[in-house]
Amino acid sequence: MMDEKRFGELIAAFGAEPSRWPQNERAPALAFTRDHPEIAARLRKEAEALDGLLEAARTAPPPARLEQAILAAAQAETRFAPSWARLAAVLALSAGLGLGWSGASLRAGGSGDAAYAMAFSSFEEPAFEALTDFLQDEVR
Amino acid sequence: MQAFVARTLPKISGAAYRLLGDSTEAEDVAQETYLKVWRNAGKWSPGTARFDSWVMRIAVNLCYDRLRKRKDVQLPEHFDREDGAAPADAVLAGRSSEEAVRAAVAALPDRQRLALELCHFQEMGNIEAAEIMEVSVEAIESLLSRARRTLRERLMGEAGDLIASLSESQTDYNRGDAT
Repeated sequence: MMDEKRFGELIAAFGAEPSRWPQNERAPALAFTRDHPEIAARLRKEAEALDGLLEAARTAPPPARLEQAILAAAQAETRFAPSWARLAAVLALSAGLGLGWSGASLRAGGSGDAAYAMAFSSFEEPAFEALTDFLQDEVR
Repeated sequence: MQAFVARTLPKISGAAYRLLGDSTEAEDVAQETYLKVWRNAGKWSPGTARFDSWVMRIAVNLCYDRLRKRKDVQLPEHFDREDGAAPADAVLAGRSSEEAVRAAVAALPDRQRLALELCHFQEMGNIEAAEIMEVSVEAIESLLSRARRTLRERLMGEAGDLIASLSESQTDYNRGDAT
């Protein structure tokens, strides 16, 4: 239940920006801000100031040379690695299904993981062989 | 593969830098992480954690290993740090700018710093952050609450000055006055 106490706890932990609030509590918390604008504004005010200050502490993006070094190491490492086929499947599915940090709706044990499991169980199928051949060519 | 690295590297290097506070070490951890991924992809098991969370967990564990090694080295009394960095309190006492904010964040305990990096700076959901840190979502909320409370106590007393200072430096930068 979203009341003043819980709303205050959310703000204290996740800050004033709704996009950072837990997904399952975002709608009730936004409803609380609509229903109790003065209370919500008071609770969010201090958190907004801290959010603003924290912008100064963002880390710099990694240098381009680091990505190049990692890709070069990957080429050397995966060309002869026995686990290459499995890795290729994971990366291909990861990209194709949009999993990962951007795939917040796909929970462990959900439809995304079922797709992974299907890929791993079909290692012997011709379509999978074609996929790994293609990916190996891409890396080379 | 390039898309995978491009997507995950900023997250990995960001978390590594936040934990280790050293860009060279953060880069080393990023490279070690991907080597472990290439070599151990077969050990990832669908149904336990998302692949990206599993990769991130490898990076975090590598950072924890390095932090443990640092703590194993007992520093003599009155030890002067080789990098010349001042303790957080000294930095905070002497400055009112970005450095004060960075120092306050850097002075947080490791797990609070990581939770803040994942949930605030990287805007990850609490469930993903909990997966990476191998704790409950309640623990993530607790870590974030404590981190923000500490930062408020350290920074908000001088928040007006800090905000004015940060705003001024941003204005100077936009005008092209920054050197």
